[in-house]
Amino acid sequence: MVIAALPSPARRTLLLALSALAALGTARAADDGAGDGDAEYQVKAAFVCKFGNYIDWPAPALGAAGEPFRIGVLASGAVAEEFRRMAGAASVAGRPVEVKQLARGEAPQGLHVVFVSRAMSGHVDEVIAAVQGRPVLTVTELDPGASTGMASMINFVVVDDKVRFDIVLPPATQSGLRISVRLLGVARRVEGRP
Amino acid sequence: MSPFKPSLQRRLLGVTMLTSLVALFVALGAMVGYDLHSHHQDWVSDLQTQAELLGRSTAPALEFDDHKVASENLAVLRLQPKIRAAALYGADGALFASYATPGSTVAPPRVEAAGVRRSGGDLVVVQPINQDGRLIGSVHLRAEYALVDRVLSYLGIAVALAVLSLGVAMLLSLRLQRAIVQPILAISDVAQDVMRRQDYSRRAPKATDDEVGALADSFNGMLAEIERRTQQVLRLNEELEARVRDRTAQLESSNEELRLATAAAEKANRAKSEFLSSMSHELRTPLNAIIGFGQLLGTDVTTARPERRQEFVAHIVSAGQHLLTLINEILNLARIEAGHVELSLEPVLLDEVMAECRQMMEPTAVQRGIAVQFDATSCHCVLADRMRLKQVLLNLVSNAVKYNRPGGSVTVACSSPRPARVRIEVRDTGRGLAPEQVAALFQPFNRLGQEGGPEQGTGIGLVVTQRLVALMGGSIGVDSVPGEGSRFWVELQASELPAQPHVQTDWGDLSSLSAAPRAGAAPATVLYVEDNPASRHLVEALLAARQDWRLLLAHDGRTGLAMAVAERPDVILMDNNMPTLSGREAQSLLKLDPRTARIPVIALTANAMPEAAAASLAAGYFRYLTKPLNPAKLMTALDDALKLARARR
Repeated sequence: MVIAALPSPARRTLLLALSALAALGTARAADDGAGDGDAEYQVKAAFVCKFGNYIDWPAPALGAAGEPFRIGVLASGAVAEEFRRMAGAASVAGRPVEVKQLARGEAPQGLHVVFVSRAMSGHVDEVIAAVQGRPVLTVTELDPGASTGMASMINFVVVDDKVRFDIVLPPATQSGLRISVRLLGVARRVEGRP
Repeated sequence: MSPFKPSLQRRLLGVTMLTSLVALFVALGAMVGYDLHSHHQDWVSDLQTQAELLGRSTAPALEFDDHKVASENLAVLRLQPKIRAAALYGADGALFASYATPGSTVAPPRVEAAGVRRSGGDLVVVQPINQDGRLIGSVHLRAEYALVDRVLSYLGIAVALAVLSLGVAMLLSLRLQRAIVQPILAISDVAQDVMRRQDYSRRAPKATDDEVGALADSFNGMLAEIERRTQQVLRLNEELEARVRDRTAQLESSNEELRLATAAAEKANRAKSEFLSSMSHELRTPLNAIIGFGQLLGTDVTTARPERRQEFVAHIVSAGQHLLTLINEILNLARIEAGHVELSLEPVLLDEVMAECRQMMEPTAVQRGIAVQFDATSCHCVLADRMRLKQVLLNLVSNAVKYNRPGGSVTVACSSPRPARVRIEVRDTGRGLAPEQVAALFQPFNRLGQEGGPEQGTGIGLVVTQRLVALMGGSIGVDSVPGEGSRFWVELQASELPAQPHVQTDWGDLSSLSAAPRAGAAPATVLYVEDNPASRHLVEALLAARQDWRLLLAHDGRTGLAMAVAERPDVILMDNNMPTLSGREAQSLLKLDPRTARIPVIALTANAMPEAAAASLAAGYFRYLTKPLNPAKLMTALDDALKLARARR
């Protein structure tokens, strides 16, 4: 729709870029974690870094002023590296953003956000269970309908070669997090809306 | 009405309209300026707010790269049709999403500098979108500015308001002006009326108490002043005209008088010339006879018979006598005319004078067969000179006798037609006089046709008579009917004082008066103080015979006093009735002066009343003698007085 509104040369360029991005993404996915697609994880890293700004954290969750906002990444080293690069330029609630790569089975401690990549999808339930009841935003990239276990709060999807996300409100609410309506406005789908 | 009214009103109206218009436009301009300014501010801040809101609502879409949501957010702007276009740009400045109303310019592909600017009649606002201090994009809003429309609509409102307010102002002004203009117009009307009709009694009405009222008051004051001055000028003019009229009348009357005087002078001159020529003629006529007969006597002395020569001599003597009479009368008249005649006016009993006249006229009347009748019982008394009065009467009676008809009559009567006047009438039965003859009656040498008649006359008698009557303060006239006779009349002033009856003087034996002078004695001196010349002459004649008396004469009391002091006479004779100083007063003064007190004074007066004589003697008079004078008594008194004077010395 937006693309249709654009003038035809710009649209063609964008379409070409997006198709290239999509091809890359599928290649990476097929690669099975050997190396996440740069473009996709760039976008996702940026998004995750920005999520913090659209969420009200309970007062003690962010700690004292000047303490960094910590994001735990359960993913390959390249992806974590991508996250670190994004975090360097980002800030949440006026704090610097720190990225910590989680090892498999490592209990996430002192984190505000936990991202579980598609390659680590098997550990999703475990991670969620580990942070359950604590004000930690959980972000996954499970295929829609694939998840049968515990749901993360935000789940990335790729629609029409664009990175979108779904939001599941109940686990966030249970964790004491309040997700901004503005964030809800740009989500592809919001589950558990009262 | 006058052209003043519309002009003044129109000007006032114009001033009001212009003032209202200017005030209106200034107010409207200020309001519109303020409104446009605040409209601009409001609109700009409105747009900025909208851009801010838009930025905030589209911030998540920008952050999470959601074009769809961004476009949806922009599309909401269709509810605000004034916003023609909108666009979102990413942080890198690239176009992210856009919106435009149909027919509007689309947003530029790259973001423009942040701020507010105008572009093609639209207002463009570009505002950055910040999220947590980070620039995440920009909002571009393009809205119609609508300032021109607003200005135009304001202009429309201004015009409508101007028309409306001017209309209202005009109505108000017309109504209010009447209060100001009406009193001024009233004054103007009065002023024009005053000028047109020159009626300064008009007054301007004073309607208000302001400057216009003061104007009316001043105007009225000026009118009153003008009115006053105009009336003054008119009055002065009238006075001047009256004065000019008076002067003209005076001038005319004096001209008339002058003319009359000139005529009278000419007439007198002519009369004088005629008189001279007549006199010459009258004098030559007897001379002619004298010379003629004289020559005849000279030449015919041998041949003429004695009777004839006797006749010639008689003619010469007669002519000489006539000439003498003529010359005497002319001299008499000349003396009268020159004012050299002395009159002594005193009370005179008419009966006496008339009796004397009859005595004198009777022989002539009888000789001519004329009956003369004197009415001598009237007892009238007049103030006159006795001698002159007799002369007047004699003249009139002798004329009446002379020019009467044979066997005619003359009547002399007196009466008192008016109080204090006595009229003497001499009526004859002669031929009478025609009116023109009456007019020429009192002219010298005019004998009214009697020149060739048998009666001798000079033609001067009546003239002398007239002059004498005038000198005595009387008047003379004549009424005459031709064929029946004439009536001459003389009117004189009546006298109250009854005069002493004038009896015929008993002169006594006058020869005894010239007695032998006193032997060996120097002549005695007597001073006679008397204003009546006749009396002076009488005494002078009486004493002329006496060698032993030297007579000194004084004409009045004052001269008498001076002479008495200077000459020291032995005796003084004093008349009483004199002008300036009476005899009584003079006598008392003499008695007071030691130099003259011893001189005996004898009174010699016409007052014969015994009381007066007694009073005079008591006052110191030596003797009291009354007129008519008895010469013997006078001599006795003088001699006695001299004896006393000598004895006193």
